[in-house]
Amino acid sequence: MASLAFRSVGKTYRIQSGPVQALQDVSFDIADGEFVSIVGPSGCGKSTLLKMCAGLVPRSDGDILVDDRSVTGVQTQMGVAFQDSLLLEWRSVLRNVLLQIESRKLRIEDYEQRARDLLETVGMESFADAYPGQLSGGMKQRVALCRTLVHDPSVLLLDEPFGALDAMTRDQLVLDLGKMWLETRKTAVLVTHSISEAVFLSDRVVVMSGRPGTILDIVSIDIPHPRGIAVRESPQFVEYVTSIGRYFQS
Amino acid sequence: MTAVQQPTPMSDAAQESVGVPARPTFRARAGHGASAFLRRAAKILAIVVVLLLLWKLVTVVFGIRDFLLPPPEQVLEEMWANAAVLWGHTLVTAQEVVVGFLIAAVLGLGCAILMTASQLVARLFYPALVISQAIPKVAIAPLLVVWLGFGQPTIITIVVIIAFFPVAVSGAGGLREVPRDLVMLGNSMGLRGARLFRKIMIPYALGAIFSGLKVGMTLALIGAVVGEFVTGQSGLGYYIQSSSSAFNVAQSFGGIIAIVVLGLVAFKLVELAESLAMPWRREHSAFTASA
Ligand SMILES: Nc1ncnc2c1ncn2[C@@H]1O[C@H](COP(=O)(O)OP(=O)(O)OP(=O)(O)O)[C@@H](O)[C@H]1O
Ligand SMILES: [Mg+2]
Repeated sequence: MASLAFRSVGKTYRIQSGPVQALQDVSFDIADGEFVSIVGPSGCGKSTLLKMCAGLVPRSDGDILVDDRSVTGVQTQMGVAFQDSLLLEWRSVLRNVLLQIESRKLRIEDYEQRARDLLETVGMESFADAYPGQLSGGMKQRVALCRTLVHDPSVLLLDEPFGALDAMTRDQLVLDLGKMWLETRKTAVLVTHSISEAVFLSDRVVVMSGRPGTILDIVSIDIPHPRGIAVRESPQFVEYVTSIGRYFQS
Repeated sequence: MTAVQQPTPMSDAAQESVGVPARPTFRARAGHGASAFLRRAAKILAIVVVLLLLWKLVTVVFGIRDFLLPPPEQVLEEMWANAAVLWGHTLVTAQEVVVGFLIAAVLGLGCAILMTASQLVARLFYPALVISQAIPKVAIAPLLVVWLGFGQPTIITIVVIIAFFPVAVSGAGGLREVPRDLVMLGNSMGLRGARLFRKIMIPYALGAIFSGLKVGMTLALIGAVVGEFVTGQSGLGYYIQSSSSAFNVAQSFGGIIAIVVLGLVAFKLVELAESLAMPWRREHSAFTASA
């Protein structure tokens, strides 16, 4: 139940050494239930864009609309996965996932089973009682993903949720995410460094330039859902990936 | 049941016989708690005995006369003879330290939280707080006597003033170090204000908070003794001073030993509170502090 709109959004960080322009004139819309990925070189402002969308960082220029209303404060209805897993080392894995519920003053009992199910989906069910200090980077990221999803948010903002994973786990989770999205059709924005992942999951891929980040292209991926693993070998898929990849060859 | 791999729990004897280095190791919670405690106690005892022997050696070799540096057995004898009196003074000092420390901890942490929650308060007070670290707070002890008169309230005030600063500075420093993204994560889940502090910021800063509390506790004892030097009618500082003015050096040394023991106990209590407050550190740090 949510559409997003970016209207000439710009961001300039003011730090001691002077202003840093991270984003410039970013405009695009995301329809309700659409899956959009953002790819672009490191430092082009992708994380910044997500944080502004969630109302966590103020924008410097332009407007961001959620369901046609300007973002002025924190958008707590969203599920945000940060680039770092940001698990709390003093909480067990399960309690880290349930922090989302606790913080929102929802009833923990109502969500514990869902939390465990999510942990199972990402292969972390046997670590429910472990502490983050005992987990690898990829394991932490999987737990963080569960924390992002556990309250069933209406919008997903995912900042490289698979960045620290090995290729095989990553493939599996990408498939799972695709399946889950297809079942629920939530509005989703994914930041990723993997073009093939972006093409595989998305309705559209936003291609951004280096800093200051601007939009180079928005590519519609006309491959019907559901998409199985085999899609990745289709000429159409390969064509999308190579054509987007061309933006990053210098 | 967790699937976390703990290294096979070997007994210490087994470890040594195989020649496996005892540390670093993931230590199981209950594990060898009792034997570790005994080993630590034995170690401390050994250190004490060696120190006493050294002391004795110095007095004999250099032929130091009793009224300058009495031999250890004379000091211990004196302590034993005066045990009840010494214990009474120790309790007085302990009370000042505990009360003063607790007040300083509450005020210091409250101040640290205020400085983190409000930009304005931080801008006004944080620089002053850091600079005030360089000022020897005991210097104002005689002034406090002028303002507040003689007696325990004055001494406790000195303790509070001296112990407050490290608690506030470390606490504020720790709270400032909470990563911005972690705060944003909290915000995105609807955490703000007091709940954000309770669920994320304070637990994150506990390590820094406790290092401030440890310094604060050490300084609290110094504050109490100095306060007793200046205005006490009882307590270990008073005991040492009055013994010294009577040239009873053995008795002074007895007082000093009592202070050392009191200081160790107080410090260990803070450490104990730390490990209770942060069980995840205790259980999951790879390098458990070697005893
Ligand atoms: N809090 C901040 N203060 C100052 N500058 C910042 C801040 N956060 C980000 N920046 C700057 O803004 C730019 C964009 O940062 P951002 O994290 O959004 O990039 P990104 O596209 O997510 O990069 P990556 O792919 O490496 O994660 C960078 O140049 C960065 O230095
Ligand atoms: Mg980023």
